[in-house]
Amino acid sequence: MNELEQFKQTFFEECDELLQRFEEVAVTLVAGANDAEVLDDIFRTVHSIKAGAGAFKFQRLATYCHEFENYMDLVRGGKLQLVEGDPDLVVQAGDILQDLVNAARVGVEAEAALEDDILEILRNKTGAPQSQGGSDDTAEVSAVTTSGFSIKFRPHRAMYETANEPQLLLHALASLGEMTVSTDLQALPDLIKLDPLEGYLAWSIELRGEGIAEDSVREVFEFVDGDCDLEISALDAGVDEADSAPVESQAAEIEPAIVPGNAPAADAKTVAAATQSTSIRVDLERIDRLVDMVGELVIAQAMALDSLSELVDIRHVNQLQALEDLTMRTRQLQEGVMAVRMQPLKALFSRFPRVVRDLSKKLEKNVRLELEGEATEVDKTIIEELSDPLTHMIRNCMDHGLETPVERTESGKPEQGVVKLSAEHRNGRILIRVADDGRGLSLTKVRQKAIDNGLIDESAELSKEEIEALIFMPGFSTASEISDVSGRGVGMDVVRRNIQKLGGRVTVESDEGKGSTFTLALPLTLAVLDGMLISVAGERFVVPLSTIVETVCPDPSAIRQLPDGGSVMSIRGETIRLIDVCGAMSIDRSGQPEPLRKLAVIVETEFGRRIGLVVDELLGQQQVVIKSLEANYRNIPGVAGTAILGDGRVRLILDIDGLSSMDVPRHDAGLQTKSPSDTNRVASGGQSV
Amino acid sequence: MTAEEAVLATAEAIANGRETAPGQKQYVSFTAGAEQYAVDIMSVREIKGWTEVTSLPNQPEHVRGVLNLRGAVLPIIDLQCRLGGGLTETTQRHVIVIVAIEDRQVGLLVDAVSDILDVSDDKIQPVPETNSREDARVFSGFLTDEDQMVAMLDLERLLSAEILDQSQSEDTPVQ
Repeated sequence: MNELEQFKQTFFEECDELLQRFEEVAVTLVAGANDAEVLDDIFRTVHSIKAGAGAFKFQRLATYCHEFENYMDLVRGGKLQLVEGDPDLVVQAGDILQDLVNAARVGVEAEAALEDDILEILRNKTGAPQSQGGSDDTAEVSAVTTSGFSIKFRPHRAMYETANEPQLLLHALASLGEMTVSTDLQALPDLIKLDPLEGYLAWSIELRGEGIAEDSVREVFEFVDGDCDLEISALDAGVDEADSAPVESQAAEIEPAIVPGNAPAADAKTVAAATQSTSIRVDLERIDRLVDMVGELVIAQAMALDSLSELVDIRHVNQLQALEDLTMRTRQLQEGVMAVRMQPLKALFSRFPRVVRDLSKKLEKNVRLELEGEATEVDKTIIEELSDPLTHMIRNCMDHGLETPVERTESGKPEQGVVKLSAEHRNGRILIRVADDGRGLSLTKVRQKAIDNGLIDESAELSKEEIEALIFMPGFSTASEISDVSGRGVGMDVVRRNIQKLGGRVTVESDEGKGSTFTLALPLTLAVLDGMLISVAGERFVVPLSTIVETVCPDPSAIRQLPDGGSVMSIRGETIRLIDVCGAMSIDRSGQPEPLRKLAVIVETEFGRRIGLVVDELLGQQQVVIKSLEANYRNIPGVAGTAILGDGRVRLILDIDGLSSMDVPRHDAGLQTKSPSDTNRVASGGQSV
Repeated sequence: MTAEEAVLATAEAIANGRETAPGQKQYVSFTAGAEQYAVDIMSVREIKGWTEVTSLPNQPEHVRGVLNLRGAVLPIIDLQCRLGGGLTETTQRHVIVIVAIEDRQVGLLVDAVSDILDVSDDKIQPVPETNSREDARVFSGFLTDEDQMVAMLDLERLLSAEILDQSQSEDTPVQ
């Protein structure tokens, strides 16, 4: 890639960010209220894109931006009031801007006349007030302009470092009027002391000409602001006052006129300066490579620790300390690298006001979207993968969940429906909820649908939860007629599959008549996990540490067998289900001695339910690098993923929620328990052909 | 061939790959049970000696488990067992042939790698229709060598259960 291409790419990345921000703020516009901050934001976006488009000679984009910018400038300056329809106009104009940017990016010509309609409207809006307010403008201009300016310009080293060329700036100034320039060589040192990278020159410029606005002079220096000393003072325009005074008095006069324009510009600068110093753009691939490398490092470090464990002896206290130190630092390094990938959910959530706004029009429903917990940070990959499922769920809520305004009023609800999107951290996982206050799931309808679609037997007896879970089954769709909003043949099963791919889980809770809540539980990151290593019949497994509540060695009297083959345990008055890891993981115990006393690891599922995992032994705590089982194979019930341990072997990470909802292996009284290989064959019946 | 020899031979064959005549393809052949099988050399990623794998719960018998291959976790399929034979009694001399299919990598447990074959397409006989359906699905043809028949494996079909989209395999309807 040549340099220009690289700059272009950077430009487009910036465009993406700017447009995203645009999207975020534009929907907050309302008719009748010119929100200065929002308008400035939008103006800046358009302005920045225009500048880039100009530089890269995307003529059509630049022209469009120019017109759009003109309009925004008038609006933010308060010369145009936003009237009914204008906020939509801005949003639409943003869409077209996005289209034009996209077209420029892929290097094709955007659809002909794509922007013509909107430009026409914008021109109409700007045109009238411009001519009528023209007098306004000129009045302002006359207040701002003088017969010219005296400019002192001293570039700093930083300005040269950012590849700005004073000569070009001077040329630009010369185009504004008649210019005389003198160079100030005072700072120039002896040749021997001269640092070729330092900037020593300064210029005094006198710019003369009628009607030059100070703004246009400042604009010339816009991109070097902060990297140079710049003094711009008006030449006295024949004002009969003392030499220094008029500038001041004039400044005072000018102030009200130029503040709206100037303050945000300065604002933009600080923003630009701040981002410049605090962030850099890095290719995601590089970060991923780093994450992988650190992952390998963690494994290597665990291996080293493993092989040196015999050192645990007072004679090797120094070595042990060094090892301890290494462990700590490895961990910090890993945390640091992982943090690079973390991003607030805001970037994702901010898309939805727009989705809801557009959709509520289409569906003719009055819907308010509430966002909560946008600052919650999640791994970037997860954020990217969440966009489609969340969009789908929100659409679903609006289309199927929420009633029409008439229905709502009839059932005594406020006409405006609420969709709430929230996020929070819990137990080392992130929970994202999409809730609506609509009609909720109709259990009878869902059940009937499932029977009609052959998903369940007519005689099946299902609990409320089981019926609700049916909507995630492939081939289930509640929309009786396919609407163009959410009935595109993609159902909640796809949502569930996408979420599962991320190591997450989706559940629904519903209250008929009151609304439903979909909950996504996702891992914070896809890369590492604090685990407890356990052993069962000679096999080792990893239990996510975040799920473990406590470990007990239950008294046999505290355990009761259930008729279905499972068992329960009583602990401090609470009865919890026990899950035998050996059975659930179909381990062949023959040849393995039963431990004298089994342990129960009490774990908590995402939704606060406690279960006890029956294991033989706890082997210790270890941080493990998660490797997906699905990358080369497929998801297995009860297994959340795999981890590569210090010895290089792969171990399975137990999926607590999966285990807790797994069927107890059934065996009828009187019959022998199925041997593991039997269960194998039963479970694999569908696949072994 | 031991795993090392097989790797060398494969590497050499791939390096010489350009010299194969048009219409000719190279195959890696190996034995599993008493039979000879072959796969397109371009789908072979790696050949390594057998090491202990981590078994997976509630999976078909021929899925021996998973293995760590430089940070990636791959399923290991017992070829003999997959094709209806019994479980392979593994020793250190057994070999895992790692093949790539779609964007996945899968290891095939076989007895030994036998040869690199240069085969022209017209030498490969189609699978006669009288064969049982199971076989017809996983072989793409037969190559009759001087003294024996080599079955060409259709990896996609052979591993369809392992590489299938999840929706097909994971959900058992509520009864």
